[in-house]
Amino acid sequence: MDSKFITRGLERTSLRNFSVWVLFWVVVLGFGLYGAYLCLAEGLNQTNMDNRFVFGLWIFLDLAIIAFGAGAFFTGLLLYILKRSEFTAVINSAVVIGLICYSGAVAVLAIDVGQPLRAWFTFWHPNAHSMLTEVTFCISCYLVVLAVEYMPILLKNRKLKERPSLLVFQHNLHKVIPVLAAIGVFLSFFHQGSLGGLYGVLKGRPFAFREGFGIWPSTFFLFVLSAAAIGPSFPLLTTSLVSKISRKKLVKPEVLQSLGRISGWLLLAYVLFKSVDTLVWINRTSPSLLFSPYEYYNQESFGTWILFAEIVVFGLVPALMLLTRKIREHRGWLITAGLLACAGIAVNRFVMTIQTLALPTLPFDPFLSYIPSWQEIATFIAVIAYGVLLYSFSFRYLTLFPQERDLNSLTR
Amino acid sequence: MFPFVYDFRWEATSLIFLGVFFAVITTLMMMVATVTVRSVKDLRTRKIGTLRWHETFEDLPAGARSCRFAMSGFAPGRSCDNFFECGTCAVYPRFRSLEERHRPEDHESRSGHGGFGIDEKRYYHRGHTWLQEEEDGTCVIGLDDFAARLLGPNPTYQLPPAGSTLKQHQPAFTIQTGESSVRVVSPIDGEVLEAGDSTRGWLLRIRPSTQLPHARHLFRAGEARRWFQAELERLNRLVEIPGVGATLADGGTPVDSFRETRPDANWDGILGVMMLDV
Amino acid sequence: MKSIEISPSQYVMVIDADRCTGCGACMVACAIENNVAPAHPDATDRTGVTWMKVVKVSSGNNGDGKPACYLPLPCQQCAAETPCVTVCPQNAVEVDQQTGIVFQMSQRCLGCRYCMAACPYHARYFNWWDPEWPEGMEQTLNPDVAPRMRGVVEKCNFCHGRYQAARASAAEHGQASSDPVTYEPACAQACPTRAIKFGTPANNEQGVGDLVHSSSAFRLLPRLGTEPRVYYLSKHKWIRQMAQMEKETSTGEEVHG
Repeated sequence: MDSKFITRGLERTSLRNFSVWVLFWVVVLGFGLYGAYLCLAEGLNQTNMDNRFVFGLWIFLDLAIIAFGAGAFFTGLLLYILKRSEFTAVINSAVVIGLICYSGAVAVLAIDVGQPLRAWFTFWHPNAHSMLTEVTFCISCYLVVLAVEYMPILLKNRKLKERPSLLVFQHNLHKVIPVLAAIGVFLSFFHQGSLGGLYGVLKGRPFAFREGFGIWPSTFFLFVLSAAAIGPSFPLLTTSLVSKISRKKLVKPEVLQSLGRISGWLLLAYVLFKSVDTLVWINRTSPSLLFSPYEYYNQESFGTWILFAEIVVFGLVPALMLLTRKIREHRGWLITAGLLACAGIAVNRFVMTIQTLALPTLPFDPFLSYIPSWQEIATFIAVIAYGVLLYSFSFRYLTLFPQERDLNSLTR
Repeated sequence: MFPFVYDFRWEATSLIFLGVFFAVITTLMMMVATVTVRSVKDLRTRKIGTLRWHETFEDLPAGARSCRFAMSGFAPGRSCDNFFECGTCAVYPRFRSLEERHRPEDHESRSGHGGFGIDEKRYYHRGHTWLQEEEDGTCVIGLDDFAARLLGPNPTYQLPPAGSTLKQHQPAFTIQTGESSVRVVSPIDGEVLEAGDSTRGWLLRIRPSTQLPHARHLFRAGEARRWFQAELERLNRLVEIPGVGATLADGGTPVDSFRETRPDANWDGILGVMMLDV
Repeated sequence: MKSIEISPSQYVMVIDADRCTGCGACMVACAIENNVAPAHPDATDRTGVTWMKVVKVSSGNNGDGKPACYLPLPCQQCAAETPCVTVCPQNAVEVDQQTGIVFQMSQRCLGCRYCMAACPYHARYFNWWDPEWPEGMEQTLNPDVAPRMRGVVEKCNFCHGRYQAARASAAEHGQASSDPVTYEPACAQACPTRAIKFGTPANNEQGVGDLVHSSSAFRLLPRLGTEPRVYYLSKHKWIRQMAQMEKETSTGEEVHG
């Protein structure tokens, strides 16, 4: 029925199946939005955050999904600036994922602040010294960039491109995409870094505080590097997942392997710098503030295992896996390695946010624990549902994977 | 944010930060403005037809964009990057002379291949139309055998009236078959003199702006045969047609209608992809 | 230990930990003075608002005769690298150069709570609920202090309302506006054991100028380099060492005011 809207040469499931899928996620979205509504209408008392655990699930997941969304800028960098044309195969999907991640993160941040209607204050009275100002500016700008990057993909829809004005606009927009990609790389570099800087500058939190170069703590560079490292890994995972759900070959295996290899090198570099950074922090930074690093890991929930997991199990291991040709060429192992790499970055973001806040600073402070409330989880589920919906619609009605038509037969 | 805002801080960090921000915003706005201005200009100058072809070409699956010299084996794996405009292609002369030196037989006429009638007098276009020069200097346009088998029985044609202008690679007419409709691109620039129908063996009589032998983008004889073969392979990747494998191997006769052998396939999609209407 | 000399005309608070009995009068006085609404029924130790929090710290095994002490914790009004000032994305925190008071402009606060994460002393509070006063109690609100709305951060500002009133009255008496004025915050005034002293070293009110240099004076977490304007006094070595992180940590518990 809606076949006139589906790109010719793509085979999609029946409208009925699609409606059932959409309906399910709309229900999930509805539940999530109810939780979000409670947080907005009743206030943040609906969450389990408090004066000591001022950030919770939301900030952790924001940091994680913004790192995952780095695929958009990194694929753009590879394709438009380093001219690696094989990545045309995944750029559209990466842009949609990026748009979902960033718009979702911004939406959650808007709920996370106590007075969302005052968000414009940051623009009106910016404090250029604050990492959060930089994050706010960069993420807002980058969200605009992503929306503009999404436009040509959207306007290539079979029906929309029939309109001459939209076709012409899309055509001209597509010509300037490399400029947009360059702006995207610039903005991403700074806000990914500043998200790391957010915690790295907190001298009052010796667990997170890091020395650095100039005005930037080392976490600034580590976040940039780690985001770039999973920039290729996350599209690898999403592509495989979409491929599994839609039962379609979406890109040539070489493209995914190529993504994996790039991810592997960057991850290796990240693990190296992260290890050096950790050693400097343990031996110099933290002791100079009279905080013994041993104490951080002396708490029941967070032993040194978490450090080991972050750097070795979810860092070095996937890096070496991705750099081994034999493993890369095996689809299952490639996906496992990508999954480990993404998990590693998530653990890093968890450590920087949640563990930092859980650890005491004042000598008579207790170790704190925090379990998110259902409203917090619901709000996040809303973002997931929104992402699934936007992606599903994009996948059905737009051409996210140009190679798909060359890799699949058109039988039902 | 601005100097007139209360509490504006005249300090280096602030000024650098805001400077960079405004630079980014300005670039973004300039870009959107440029795109809009260019779009309005393109709409006004009626370049829309060419532009639409270029967009369609970019949207074609990679398999539909093979260079003709890739099919002849002189440029293996090469994809066309010039919108099938061999007339302005930079590499065309080089490969052409290579081809003429090594495979002169290609340019001799020969009878059909794989059951497809290939007429030595005809020029074939990649949108599955052919052109034939008549004695009076006009040309007739028809659908090739391959298209006929794709379309199945009794398609209806919406042909342009006499006097219409045709532009190379731009829509010439539409065909309705079953639930799908597909627009067919014109193989050449010209003016429509008369609309025909399938019973007369041609669909349009035109006066071409170029003499056919000078239209480098069209296929003849041996080249057309190779292209038919490539198209058959491409179709077979989209939907496996019983008997086509044998046809490919031994040059036998394929079925009369591809459609009827595989009713389970997405024929609307196949039609679009094969007829360059995506 | 290196220490920035705090300008003598800026205010300091000196809290004698040995005198504090943990009665919580300062917390009550502070809440009334600064229009802190009564806690919401669902509020906990960690979600309530109290600009001044009294914490009980037990000595562990080495108490030398004092098994526990009470530490009243207002905002420490950091003089150097003030953590909350640099992190605020919209300049809603300011250090008054004349008084040294770190001032939270709740009207401009977005409620992002980044300042709370940055504060090593956990002296900042977020309004998790709408402030609500029981019927009739709004009559007791202090007209000199603006109440804060839900979703913004607030903290101790050395009773800014009293400071403004003192300045107005000093101006009436012809005092130059650059001279520090003498006033007393609500907590200091309410303390039954006079454990809280307040003033400028220049004017040496209640002897604060001498006390900050006494051998029993110390500040919390000095190695962070924040140079707090709140000093503590104790003759007990373990208390001084504990506060300065020079020894093993002990556990603390909150006093309910």
